[in-house]
Amino acid sequence: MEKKYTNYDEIDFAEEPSFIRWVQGKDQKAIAFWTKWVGNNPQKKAAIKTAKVLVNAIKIKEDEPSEARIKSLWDKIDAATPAEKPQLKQAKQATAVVRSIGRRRWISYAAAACIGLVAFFTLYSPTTTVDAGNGERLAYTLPDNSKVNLNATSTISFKVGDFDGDRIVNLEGEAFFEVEKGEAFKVITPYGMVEVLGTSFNVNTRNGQLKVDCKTGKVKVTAKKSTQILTKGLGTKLNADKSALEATYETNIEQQIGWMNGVSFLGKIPFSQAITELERQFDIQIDCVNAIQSRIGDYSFKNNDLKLALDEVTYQLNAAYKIDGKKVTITAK
Amino acid sequence: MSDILLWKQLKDGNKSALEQIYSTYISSLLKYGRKFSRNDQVIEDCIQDLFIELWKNRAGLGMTDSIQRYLLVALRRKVIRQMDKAKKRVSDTEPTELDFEVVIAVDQKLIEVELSAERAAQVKAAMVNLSKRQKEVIYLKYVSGLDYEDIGEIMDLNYQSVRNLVSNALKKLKGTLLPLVLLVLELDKIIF
Repeated sequence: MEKKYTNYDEIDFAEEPSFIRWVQGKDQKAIAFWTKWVGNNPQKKAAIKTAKVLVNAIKIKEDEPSEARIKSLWDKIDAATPAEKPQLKQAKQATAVVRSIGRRRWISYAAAACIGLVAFFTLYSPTTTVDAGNGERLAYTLPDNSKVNLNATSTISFKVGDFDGDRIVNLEGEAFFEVEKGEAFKVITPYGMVEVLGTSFNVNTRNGQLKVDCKTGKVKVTAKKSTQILTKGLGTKLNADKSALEATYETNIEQQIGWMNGVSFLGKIPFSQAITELERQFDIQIDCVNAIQSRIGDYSFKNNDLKLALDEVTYQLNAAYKIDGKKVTITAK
Repeated sequence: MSDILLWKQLKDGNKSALEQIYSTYISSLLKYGRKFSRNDQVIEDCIQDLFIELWKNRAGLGMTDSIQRYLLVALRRKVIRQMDKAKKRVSDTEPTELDFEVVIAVDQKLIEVELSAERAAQVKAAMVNLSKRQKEVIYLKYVSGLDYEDIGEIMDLNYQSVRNLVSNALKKLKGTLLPLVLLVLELDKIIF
């Protein structure tokens, strides 16, 4: 950091943000840094002085707008922007259910949950499977009225007949559960089991990982002979060598379930894993140069707008992309 | 609170998030808008529209990590549209280049040197010599404190164009201010 400045000329200095903050006296850290740096680099004195004159010359006369003006403008805006209780999320879930009904005929049987069918299922106890395909997210209501939101490329299955006694749901992929109070409710995944009493929580089994985040109530997670109890706002996941669950940690549940509200927050991961998630969310194929795939970043994207999502991730990677139907190519800039 | 969180609250329909965004950025919006038009009413109307639309379309808003950038981009677009309309009404021959006028405040004391009236005029002239786009990048960089990416997005220019505009503006400024620069360096030798 310090070294690169030794090649700077006066224009470079005048363009350097921390140098500007020093000259403008805006930033204590910048002031401390540059005062020391100037002392250590006397050969740069002329360039520094010149750059200071330039930055100091850029002073623009501006009047602060008056309080009254700011207040009266807000009053106008306030009057035109009524606050309302947003019911959007509910409505979205409802349409998602309808969509899923259209997609798979047999879901409608379970969703209707009419008494005759329940009796039928009780006798034959078939397994009901609900899956969200690539680029599809859906909301589903279980026979006990517990709600499941399925993320793209995820599947749940359960035995309708047994659901009264044993509430057991098998999950592959990622889902958010809001569980009605009642008997034990279990989510079985290939990597471990989550057991609850009446709560809401997110289970993510992407990339061979089991990650559980608890929103309300209490959850018991069992995997690889280890057990963790999660309460509100806590999360756990498999450790690095996938041999046991990690100790519980505080989680940002709103981020973990952001995928339900239109934003997928992926956390710190290599870009290759973000690619897999993008492919799931948008039902696309991504072709990406290796150099970029390994880059670790804190990726997040809007999961209902492909172009915006690609804008977000490629902006972060300083990469470019091209969409060609269902194929997307990402290249270094 | 981070911009991402505040933005999310707005998207979720939290009215107080809208108010917080307004009170945080209204001053810089009004000041920036003023550079395009001396007609305060036009700018206020644009800002009012901007916030009303923000609220109406909140559910469909994209993500942003910089609310300031988002607002400045939106305001700039609105102002341009307004000006284009107004200009068409007046005459078709008017130039369509976006106005960006700054009033330069010349400190009587630039660093250690007391400026004579003549030198102060020199500084002022140096800024006047810049093109409108150069003035705008200089304003966004040195007054609003934005980085090149943000400026590029606001002005709809790529990163390299912004860099070029800034360094050309600085070079031009340096040329005009050369006598002053030499004076500062000369004084330095005497004092130290």
